[in-house]
Order: sequence, then structure tokens, then C-alpha cells
Amino acid sequence: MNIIPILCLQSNLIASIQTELTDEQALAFQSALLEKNHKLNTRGIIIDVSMLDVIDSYMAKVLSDLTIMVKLQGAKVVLCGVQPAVASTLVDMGMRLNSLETFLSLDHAFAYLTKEQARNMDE
Amino acid sequence: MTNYQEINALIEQYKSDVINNWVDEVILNINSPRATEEQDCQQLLELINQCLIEAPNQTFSSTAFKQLEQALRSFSAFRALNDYTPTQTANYLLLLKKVIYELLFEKYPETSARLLIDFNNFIDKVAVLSFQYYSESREEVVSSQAYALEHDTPIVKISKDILLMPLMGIIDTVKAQKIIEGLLESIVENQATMAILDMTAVPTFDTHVANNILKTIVAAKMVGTQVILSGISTNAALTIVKLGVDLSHVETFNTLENAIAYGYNKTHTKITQE
Amino acid sequence: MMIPQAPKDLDNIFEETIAIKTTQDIVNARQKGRDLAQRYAFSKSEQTRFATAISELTRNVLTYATAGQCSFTVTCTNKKDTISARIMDNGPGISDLELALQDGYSGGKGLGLGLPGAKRLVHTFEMSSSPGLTIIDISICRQKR
Repeated sequence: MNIIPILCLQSNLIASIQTELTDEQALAFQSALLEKNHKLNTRGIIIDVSMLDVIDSYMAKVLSDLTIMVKLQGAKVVLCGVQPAVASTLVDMGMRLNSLETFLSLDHAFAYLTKEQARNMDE
Repeated sequence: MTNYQEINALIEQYKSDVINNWVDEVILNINSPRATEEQDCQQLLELINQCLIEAPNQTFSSTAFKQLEQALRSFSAFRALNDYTPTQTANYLLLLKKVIYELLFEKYPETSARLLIDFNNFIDKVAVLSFQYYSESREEVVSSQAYALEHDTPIVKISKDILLMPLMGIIDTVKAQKIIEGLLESIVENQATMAILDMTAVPTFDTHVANNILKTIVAAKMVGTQVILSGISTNAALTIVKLGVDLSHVETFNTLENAIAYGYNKTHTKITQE
Repeated sequence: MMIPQAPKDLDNIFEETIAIKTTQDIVNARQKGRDLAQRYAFSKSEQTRFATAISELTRNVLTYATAGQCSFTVTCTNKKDTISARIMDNGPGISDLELALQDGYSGGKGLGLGLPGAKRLVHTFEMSSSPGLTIIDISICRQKR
């Protein structure tokens, strides 16, 4: 069962992870996002991780996999609010989150997605 | 009551009362969760009790006392690092004494004065030890804060979205670590989408420095910020190539001026001149 | 299933052990690690690195064994403070330690970065493994001036 509220704003899903997640909760979150993305036909997903003190290899994989699966559905996943200590730890471990774009804040992420989506509409 | 072992037995028998009364006294003057204090007090009492078994012959040389010393260090260091006042710290052992004496008086009012004096000396010694460790920790905190003030690398906000960090002097591994931490924290605090690392005043460039800079750039990208480099001297450029460090995906500039111009352009910052 | 007890170190104090049986225990163990590091004034980076290492190692316990535990110890001297964690499990063990510590190796599921990644996050990393008992000892320390 997913415990993280997922909101929808201008065709983009927004979810903020407020607590530590167990492996099962992380997977439930991942499923819920996929489902909602499919149901609402959204174009982007912003996940705010500013409250996550730890992103280990498991969580990184959940996010990575999510990005790939969502891409198959024609949408894009971005992160915002990665904590400085978390970023340097991931780098120390040798993980780069290459497939995942990250932004300083929800503002930055949303501005980027909406701009890109408007551009795609014009083409 | 005439010997330490009997005191030990008495404390064993009424252990939960002793702990409760002790913690009650302690938290009267300390604003801290009961659970934290209880856990620490429990472990200390356990160890003190162990010492009483060896007393009076081996009190201060027993294994139990060494363990107590170890525990006191951690116990006192924690107090020092978490802003407990000297009074609060000193009070722990003194309040324990109070609680044990009340118990002794209640159960064995005829306890010999000799035993009481010796026991008192023992607890006082433990109290002084704990306070010494507290002081040492405190001194260390103060001196490291002073050191940081003198040696931290400055970070300047040159526009709403851009931070500038002029690196200076020799950068060893320890300093590099602090630089990365400081820069990342500053980036998030200021919500800067761009950071300029100026290398003009860095005399030597070795593998460690290069790798740490690379690490900074990657970590910053993960946070959502672009890091660009400026002030790379001829020497530094040669070193980078020789070391095989891959900076091909990083924007680098000869002068700080160029880097800033690029930065302003990229972040759409306008400068008006009167 | 009982975990064989490794010999107890007399000089270390303030031990706390967390049994690792569910994924919630992984979260609890890493939070405890972070708590301890914070209590003893380790930097935020160190706290995060330590917590992340604990997360990786305790997850391995669940992946490869049926029972395990994570024990924390704090040792303070006048030169430095050290926080250690010992993660033990009763799994089949790792026959080739050197191979397992190489980047990219994966014994089972996952990215295969668990062990070498975790090793990079801590100051000391020691591992011994035989069928039925694997022990990993990690520690972080803070030098005092």
C-alpha cells in the first residue's frame, strides 16, 4: 500500500517523500506513480526527496527503474531537493543517478518540465 | 553495613528505585528526554556497582574500573558536545551519591562512618574524572571552532543564482572534504543554480585535488547545480591532461571574468549600469 | 536460528544491538547509526555516509541470510571518538571475499555495488565470512585536535 500522497498539477504528478521508506513501501510508491501516470496521462513526475536523509543503492535503483518505466509510458521523472550529504554519499559510493535529472527545488523542477512540455507541444 | 560488597548488594536489590530516583533528580535541572538520561544512568550505575565488588583492595585498578573510565569518557563527551552546562554534568554523580545515601540511611542507619567516608571518596573520584573528561571535550570543541573560523574557504554570492568560491592555497584531502561539504550546503541554502570554482590561487594541482574537484562537480550536479571552473593556470592544465582527469563535460574558463560572464548569461541575470 | 556469539571486547562500552529480521529493521538500524554519529558531533556528511553503509550492509543480511543483527559501540579517547558497527548474519557466506569487494560484482539481486560502495563510506572495514557466519565490522572516527 502506497503511503505517499501524489498530487497532480498541470499535467504533472508531484510527490514528496516525507518519511523513511522500507523496501516494500518504496516499491508500492513506485507502482502507485506508474498507475497514476498511466491513468491521468501525465507528462512529468516530480519527486521531492528533501526529507530523505539516506538514499542507498536500493532506493537509487527504485528511482532509476521508475525513470525508465515512466519513459516507456512517454513521460519524464525528475527529482528535487537532494540533500548535500546524500549527493556526496552517492558520489562516494560510485553511483551517479545518470538517467535522472535533478533540481534544486520544486520551483526549478516545475519550471523546467512545463517549459519543456510547452516546447514539445509546439514541435 | 560494613563493607562495599554489602552496598553493592543493596543497590542490586533496589536497582530500579535507585535509577528512578536518580533520573528524577537529574532531569529536574536538565531539559532532555527521560529515555536518554535513563539509558546512560543505567549503564553508569551498572559499572559503578561492578567496581564495588572489587573494592576496597582493587577499586581503582580493576577491569571494572577501566570499563567505568571508558564509559565516563563517552558519557562526558556527549554532555560536552551537546551543550550540557558544567553544573549539569557535575551534578550527575553528586545526585547519585545523594540517592544512594538516602537508601543507606533508610535501610541501614547504623552504617559505619569509616565505610561511608571511603565510599564517599570513591564516588567523588569518579565525579572528578567525569568532569575532567567533560572539560577536555569542551576545550576541543572550542579550539576546533576557532580553527574553522580562521581556515574556512569563503563563498561569495555574486547574483541571485550564482555562487563564487575562490579556492586558495594547498588543498589536502581533509580540506577538500570540507570544501565540498561547505559548497554543497551553501548551494542548497542559497538555491544557486550555478557555482564558480576559481582556481587562480591554487599553486599545485595533483591527483587528489583533481579528483576532489571532479567529485564536487558531480555531487553538485546531483543537487541540481552546474559547477564551472575558472583560473586554470598553464601548469594546472598540463597536470590535468597528464593525470588523465576527464573534465570534458565541464565548462572551464581562463579567467574569472569570463566565467562570470558565462554565468550571468546562462542564468539570465541582467546587469544595469548607471 | 541462533547467531554464534563473537568474543566480546572488554574495553568497549555503550553497545546496542538491533536484530535484523524485516525491512523496517534496516531503517531502524541506519537511523540508530545516524543518531549515534550525530550525538558525537560527526559532520552531516559523515552521519549520512555511516547511515548509508549500515543500510547497505543490513540489507545484505536480509537478502542472503535468515537472521542477523547489527551492534553499535562508541569508544571515546582523548585523541578521537569512534563509532563502530558489527553486522553479523547466518547466511551461506561469501566464498571469494576479494571478488565480492570489486565494483560491479553481484552475488544475487541488486546493483552489485553494496559491499565495495559501503567500504568507501567508512574509515575501517573488516570482513570475515564462512558458511553460517558472516561478520562485517565498520567504523567511523573523528580526530580531536
